[in-house]
Amino acid sequence: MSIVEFPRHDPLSGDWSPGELQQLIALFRADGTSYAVGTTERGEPQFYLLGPAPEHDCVLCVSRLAQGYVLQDGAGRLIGETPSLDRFAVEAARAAMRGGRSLIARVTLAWCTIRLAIEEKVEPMFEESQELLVRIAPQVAALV
Amino acid sequence: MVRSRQAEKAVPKGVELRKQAGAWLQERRKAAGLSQIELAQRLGLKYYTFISQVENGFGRVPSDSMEAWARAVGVAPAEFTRHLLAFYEPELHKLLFEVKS
Repeated sequence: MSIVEFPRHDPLSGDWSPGELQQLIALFRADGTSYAVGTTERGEPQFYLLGPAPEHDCVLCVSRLAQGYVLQDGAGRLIGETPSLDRFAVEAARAAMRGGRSLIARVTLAWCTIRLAIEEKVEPMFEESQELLVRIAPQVAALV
Repeated sequence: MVRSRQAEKAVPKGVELRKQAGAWLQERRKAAGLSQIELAQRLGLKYYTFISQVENGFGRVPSDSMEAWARAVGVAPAEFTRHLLAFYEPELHKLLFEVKS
């Protein structure tokens, strides 16, 4: 009896999904930056955050490997590793602040952390306040 | 393979030179019969993603890795560095190796 092995399908290899790409752009978007995408020899996607013109130096590189996402600065120093993009910016920023990373990378990551904190903490607070306002506004209006 | 958001605009010279450097590095690595993973292992890197980053033209070989990188791909370190300098610092390369006093 011979056993034929099915080719292994790795759901994580290949291109960035539109969702992942949107998330990365949202995380790292800043004035003067642009991005490019590419792949490793094995086809894993890479996202390159580029600095200002004219040099467009790579400031950060995010790669998606089988085990998760890897963040490196433009010089290849490892900044962070995470299985999920959601916690990416915070963990990466913490790691970046510990070491002597490049100023641009540190500022970018700090900005990402702030942005994520705003989205996670402050925006729900505003939403709650708005909900509260919508609920009490008719009662206040009735009193006036 | 690389796609860029700035593809429609004229590509600055520095960007184009980095891409040429990346293509040369990839050529050298393949000529040495190494995969990106094998080269990363020889350079003591945890991930091979930086090799890809450099070969795609989005990074430079750090000066403190040049010798090890050169030896890994079987090129004399001085020749390797001189060749990369032509891409990374063309003006400096010109002054050092092309301009005759």
